[in-house]
Amino acid sequence: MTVPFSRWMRASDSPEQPGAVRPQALDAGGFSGASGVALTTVDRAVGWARANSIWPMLFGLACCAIEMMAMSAAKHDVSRFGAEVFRSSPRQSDLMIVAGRLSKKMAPVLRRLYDQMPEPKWVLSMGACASCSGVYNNYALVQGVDRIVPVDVYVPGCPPRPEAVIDGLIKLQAKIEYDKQFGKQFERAPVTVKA
Amino acid sequence: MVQQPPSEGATQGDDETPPPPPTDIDLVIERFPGSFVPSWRYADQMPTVRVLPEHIREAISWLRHECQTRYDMLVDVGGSHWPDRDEPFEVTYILHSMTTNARIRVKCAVAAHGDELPVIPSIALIWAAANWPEREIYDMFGVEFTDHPDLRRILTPNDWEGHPLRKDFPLGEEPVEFYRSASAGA
Amino acid sequence: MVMLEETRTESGRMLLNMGPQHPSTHGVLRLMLELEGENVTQCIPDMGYLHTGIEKMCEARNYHQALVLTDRIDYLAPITNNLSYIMACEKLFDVGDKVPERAQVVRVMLSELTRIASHLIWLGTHALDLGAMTVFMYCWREREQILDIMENISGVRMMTSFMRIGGLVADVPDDFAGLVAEFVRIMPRKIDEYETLLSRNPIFIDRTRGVGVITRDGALEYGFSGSCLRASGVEFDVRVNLPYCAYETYDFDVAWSKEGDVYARYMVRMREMRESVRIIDQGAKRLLVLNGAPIRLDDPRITFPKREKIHSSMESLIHHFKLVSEGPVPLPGEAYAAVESPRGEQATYIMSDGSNKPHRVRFRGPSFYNLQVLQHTIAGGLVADVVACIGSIDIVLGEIDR
Ligand code: SF4
Repeated sequence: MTVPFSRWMRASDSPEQPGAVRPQALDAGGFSGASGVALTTVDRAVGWARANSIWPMLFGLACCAIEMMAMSAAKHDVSRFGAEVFRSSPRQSDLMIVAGRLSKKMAPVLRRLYDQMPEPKWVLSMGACASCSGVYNNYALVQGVDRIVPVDVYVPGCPPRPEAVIDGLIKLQAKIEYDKQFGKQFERAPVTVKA
Repeated sequence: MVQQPPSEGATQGDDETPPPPPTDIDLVIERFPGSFVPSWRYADQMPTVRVLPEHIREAISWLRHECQTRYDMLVDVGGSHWPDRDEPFEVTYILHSMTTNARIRVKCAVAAHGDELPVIPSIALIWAAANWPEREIYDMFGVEFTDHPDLRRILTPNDWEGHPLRKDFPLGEEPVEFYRSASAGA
Repeated sequence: MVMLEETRTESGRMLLNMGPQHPSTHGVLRLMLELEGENVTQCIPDMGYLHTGIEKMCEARNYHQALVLTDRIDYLAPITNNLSYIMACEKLFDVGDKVPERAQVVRVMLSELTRIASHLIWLGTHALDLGAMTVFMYCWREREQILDIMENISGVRMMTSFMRIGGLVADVPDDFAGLVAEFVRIMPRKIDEYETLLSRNPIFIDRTRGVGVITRDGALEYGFSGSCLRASGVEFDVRVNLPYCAYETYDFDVAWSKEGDVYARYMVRMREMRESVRIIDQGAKRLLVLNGAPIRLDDPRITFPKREKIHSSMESLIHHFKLVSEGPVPLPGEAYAAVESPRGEQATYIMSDGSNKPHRVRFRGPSFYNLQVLQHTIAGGLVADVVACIGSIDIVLGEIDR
C-alpha cells in the first residue's frame, strides 16, 4: 500500500497548529518516527483501510462495462488504486459499479444483488445511462439507478473514459475515508465527477 | 404522419413485374393465388412479393426446398405497424440463396379484428431460425403466430402490458428536470 | 422476474440459474440449465435484461439524430452499426452509389479496425473464461491502440458516430496515416503472440476441440452468419457475397473452416484479424492517393453546407438551420442494408412514410440469430463447456435485446 500517511490528517490538523501531529512523525513504514507513537482515531484508521481496499462487484450491463474492463486491464490498471479485485459475487464486494443502462426487467435483479452485499457498501453510477438513462429516455429503461439504489458517486460520459471512472473511484475513496465508520454514518451526499 | 403511403391495393401491382424469363417472384405469384408485388418503393432493389397469410408457410417452404434458386438462409424476420393501412400489421421475411447470392423479400400483412391479436401462421416449425424473431414480433407488435412452439414474450418482462413497437404505444419519455447549479447563482 | 422456485425436478435433476449477472455470460444473458450430474439436459435462454427500446427511440428522432442511437446497439463494434444504418439511409435517399471514394476507403478502414478491436475483446474474454488470464491483458493492450486511433479521428474512444449520410462527419486528421501504419506494422506479430499462448496450448485445445459442434445444416437452419457460419463450413461473407463500400476491390481471403466446433471458430476469427490487417494496409495506401479528395457528398437535401459558408451566407445559414431542426426527408419507401460486422450480418431495415422521422427501423443483430442455436449445442454437453460455447458464439447482448 503506497498511500502516504499524511493522508490521515484532516485539513484542520495542519502541522502548523500547535499540538497537531506532524506528518514527518507518521512516516511510512509504520509507527516508528521520532516519538514511536502515531496518534489517530480508530475511526480514521478503519476508514483508511476501507478506502484503499475496495472490492468492486463486476456488474457490467452494457457498453460502459467495456470501458470498465478497460479500466481494469492493461494501460489504465485500476490496481494502482487498490480496487482491482473484481468479484462476481455480491457477497464478497463492497462497491457496486453500475456500468450501463438498466432496463426495467433488470431492475429487480439489481436491487436484489444490492441487498445481498454486506454493509458497508457503496454504489458508483457509471455513465449517462446509469445516472439518468442518457440518450434513451423511453419506456424500457429505468431513468437513473438512483431510483433503485442509493448512489454515492456519479460519473458522467457515454461511455466515461477509464480515467474518469478512476477519478470517481478516488473521490469515493476520499468519501469513505472521511466518513464515520461506526454507528450512524454521515448523510451521504452524492458526488459528481466533473466531465 | 405527414404523408400517406400509397395504398397497397390487392388489384394493382401486377404490371410492375419484369419481362421473362420468369423470376421467382412470378413463380410465387403463379403458385400462390392472391400474391402480388406491392406498389411501393423498395429502395434497395430487392425483389419483393406479398403473399396471403394462409399461404405464407407453403410459400417459404417452396422457396427453400423446391424453387430453382434455393433460398437456404433465412436472413431476417421483422414486423412493422402501419396504422393507416387496411392490414396494419406486416411481417417481412428476407431470404438468401447461398448458391446465387440472390435475395428475396416476402411480405405478409394482416388486420386485427377488434381487440383480438392479429394472427399469422408461424414458420418456426419449418425453419428454426424464425423461432425467436417471431417471438420478438409477438412481443413488440402483438402478432400471434399459430403453431409456434414456444410463443412467449422475449424482450420485455413477462408481466408487461402492451406491445411497445405499436404506433399507439407511447414512447414513455419522462420530462427532464434541469436544476440551476449552485455556482451559477440564484 | 421469473425465479426458479425449486432447485430439483421430480426426476432428481437439478435446476440451475445462470445469470443474468454472471461474468461468463458476456452481459446480462440468463440461462436456465437443467443438470443431471455434470451433464446439461436442457437449457433455456432468457434475454431482455438489456432491452433499451432503441427501435422505438429511432422512430421519435430524425434521420440524423437516430444515428447516435445506433452506436450503442452492438457496443463492441459501433462503426459497423453506424455503417449499416447509414447505408440504409443512403439507399432511401437514392445516394447509395454517389458516396465519394475517400469516404468509402475510410469507412472500410474503420470497419476493419473495429473488427479487430471487437475480436480482441472476444479473444480476451473467451480466453479468460477458459482460464487464460494473460491473453486478456495482451488483447487490451492492442485494443487501446485502436481506441487511440478512434480518439484521434473523432475525439471519442468508443461511440464515434463518425459516419454521416453521404460520407463522413469530417476528414481524418493528418497523423491518422502514421498511427495506422504503426498499427499495421505491429499487429501481425501481436497476433502471433496470442497464437503462441493459445493455438497449441493443450488445456485450451482440450476445452475447445470437438466442443459445441454446429454442423453446416444446423448453421443454415438457425440463420447463422459471420464467423460462426464460416466455421461451420459455409463460405459466406457479406463483404464478398454482397459487397458494399467497394470491398470487392480489396484483396483478402475469407477465413473458413469445416469443423464447426469452438476451436474452429477461434481459428476463423484469428485468421480474420490477419485479413483485416491486410485490408487496412491496402486502405491506407489508397488514402495516400486520395489526399484532399472530398469526404462527403454535396447534396443540399442531406448534407450540411460548409462551415465557412454558414458564416458568410444567409442562405447557407437557413439551410443549415432547416437541416438541423427538421432533418432530411426521404421519399416513402423502405430499404435494407447489410454489412459484415464482427459477429455476422448486421443489417438495418428502415421504412419511411415520407416524413422526417423513420416510420420503423429494424436492426438485425447477428448475435440474436446466432444465440438461438445455443440451447441445442449446450444440451447434452458438460456444464464446463457452457462458458466455452457462449464465448465462442461471441454474443453482444446489446444487439440481442436492442
Ligand atoms: S452511458 Fe452510453 S456507453 Fe454507457 S451504457 Fe449508456 S449508452 Fe452505453
